[in-house]
Amino acid sequence: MDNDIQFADLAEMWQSHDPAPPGLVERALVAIEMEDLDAEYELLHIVERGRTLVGTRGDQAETLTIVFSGNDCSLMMRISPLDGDCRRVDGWVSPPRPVRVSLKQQETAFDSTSDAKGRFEIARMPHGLARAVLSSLPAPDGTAHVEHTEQLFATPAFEV
Amino acid sequence: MNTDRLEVTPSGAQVWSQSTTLFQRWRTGDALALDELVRALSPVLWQVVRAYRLDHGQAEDAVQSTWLALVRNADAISEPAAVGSWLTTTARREAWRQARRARQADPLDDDVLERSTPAARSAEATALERDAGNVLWAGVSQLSERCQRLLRVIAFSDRPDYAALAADLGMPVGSIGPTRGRCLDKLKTLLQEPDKEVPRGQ
Repeated sequence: MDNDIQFADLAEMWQSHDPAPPGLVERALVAIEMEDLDAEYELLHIVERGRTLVGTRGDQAETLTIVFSGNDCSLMMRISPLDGDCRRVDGWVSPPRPVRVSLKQQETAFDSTSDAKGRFEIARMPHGLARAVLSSLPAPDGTAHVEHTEQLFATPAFEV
Repeated sequence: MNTDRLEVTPSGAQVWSQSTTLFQRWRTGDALALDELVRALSPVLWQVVRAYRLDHGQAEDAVQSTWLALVRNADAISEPAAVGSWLTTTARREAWRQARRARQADPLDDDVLERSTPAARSAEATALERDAGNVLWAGVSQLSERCQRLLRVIAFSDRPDYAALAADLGMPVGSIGPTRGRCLDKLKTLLQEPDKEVPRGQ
């Protein structure tokens, strides 16, 4: 081995021992594609992600739990497989309150509203990449949003 | 020891000039150029954020946040040639925030981790086959966390920003260059005597 360590060799070593995971680029592209440049939101960040096997037999029913968090809001979702290529999403918004929850995919969006305990569900949506967007509900009397009370949160792209 | 030559742009210099061209094309209306930029640079940004001891989910989050920041703040980059260093700097900042968030959630402090890793690493190192890349990997794995981060960030940055690096690593700006030199010297020693235990702490 020659005497000088080159950064090029170090770079190559890291690239082969800890390569970027498959799908990294695609998920970044989807996140960009679904970016709403007009919306002022706080980006939530992933804090936890885990898979749990549910059911007793080897039917590969695997539930994904994913938690995003920001300064004033966090969002936990449990994603369970349904028949075909579909998923069910059970979610909790914290601090608990009613908000509009939208799971956006490239073609469509699946909307739900959380209850006073922050719980929401999307009974069925296709497997694929999505972003979650949380927004304040209109005031109960139907008046327009009051600007400074409206809050918007969005997540990066993740696999449902 | 001659570390001056390392002042030149590290590996894959063409990725940075390619980025400049793609950024320019995107800003003048070619939407597909952004896709190409994401394809070309995401693997590099991955390397930068993984220098901050993030798990896969957090590292990916940091890479995505970096791209979203670019899309939202592209106007702030007035000089296309600066896009590479803007992206790696933003990625480091995102990674740093993620790492801080993770530390708050994780009761293990740095010292505990530092003390618990060498044994695991040498077991890992001996199991590796002795080709050049693995020898280098085994050597780097025995460096301190700080050395590993510094070398990795420099290896994947376009003209590394020493002031920002210094802030991240909690070091005075003037000590980045000398520290880099000491990290490389230590690595060189480890590569020459792979089984010798080198005092940690640098």
